[in-house]
Amino acid sequence: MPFDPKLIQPDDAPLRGDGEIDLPADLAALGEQLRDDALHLAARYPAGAELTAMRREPAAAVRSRSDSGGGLRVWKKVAVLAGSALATVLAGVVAVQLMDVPQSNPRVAVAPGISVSEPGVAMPTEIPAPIAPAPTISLTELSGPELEALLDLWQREPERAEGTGVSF
Amino acid sequence: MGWAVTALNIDETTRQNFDRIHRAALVLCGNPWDADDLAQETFLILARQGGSFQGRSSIYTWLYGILLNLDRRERRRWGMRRRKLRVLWDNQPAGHGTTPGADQPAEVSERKKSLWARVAKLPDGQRQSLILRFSEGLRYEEIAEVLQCPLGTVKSRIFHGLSALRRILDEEGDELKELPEFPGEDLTQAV
Repeated sequence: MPFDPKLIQPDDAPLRGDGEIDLPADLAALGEQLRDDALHLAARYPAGAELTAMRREPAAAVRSRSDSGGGLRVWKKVAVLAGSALATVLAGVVAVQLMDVPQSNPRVAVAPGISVSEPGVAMPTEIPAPIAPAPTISLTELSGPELEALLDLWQREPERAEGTGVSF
Repeated sequence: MGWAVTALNIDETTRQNFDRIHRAALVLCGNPWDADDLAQETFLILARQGGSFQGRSSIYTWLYGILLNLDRRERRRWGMRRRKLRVLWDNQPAGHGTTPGADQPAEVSERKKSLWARVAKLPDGQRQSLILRFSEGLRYEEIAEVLQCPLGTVKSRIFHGLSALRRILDEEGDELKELPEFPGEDLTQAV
């Protein structure tokens, strides 16, 4: 059976004498509303609004950076420095306290009535060797790169930082 | 030298036409993010293929043509994604899923409330004709040029598009009428 397509053409629109579509009043009103809605949408979301907002933000950030100059960076360095110095001092204090624990524990060293095997009392199995005097680093004498190198080293090998003293 | 002239024209063309192309893109896709992408892609194609424009039509009708092609491509992709999601959803055991919202196109509330959201339900030809006529204000001849169809077809699509839109609104109205009245809202009985 041969293929015999029957194309159904859409009905032509009713036209006026001047070639314009002869729209009934309700359809003409719909057209007007479409026009208004499009204008409203375009006004609400103008072209490039998203991009402008994105561009404005970095510009403001750059401006605030340039306003504050290099001061912000210096303050950041000082804060990092102070933080790491504080951490070092705290680590030193904790280490010293840990060393003192066996000698200052009265229950073990002083009280004669308590047996060694009493449960709940931790006995040190060996006395820790005295720690060698920690080297002290004067932060004021270090250059910027040296300081950064030192901070990197401490970050990578925190055990070294524990034994190191810091002076300002 | 020729390159410099081309670059200058593209720059100028973009400056003059970006707003109108963006507005059409916004009506087409319903949200400013996709509209930005569509409009920028349109001008990217202008920058790449601007040499192929022969000046037999206005530059903006040519740009509208590019935009509508890009929109058609996006809709195809979206349709494919939706079908895949539908398959995944249908294969999921009952009670293990949540409502699949990802297959719905993103749309800002202003458009949802506008007539353009209803226009989005119409067939491509009617939808594009209505956008070019009522959002962009193109003449029938220009629309025929963009859509590459006879003038009579454009007029027919506009007329039948508006009629279909009227029917959609009527059906929505009927649905609203069919909603049961909420007794708590009957304030005539309030003391």
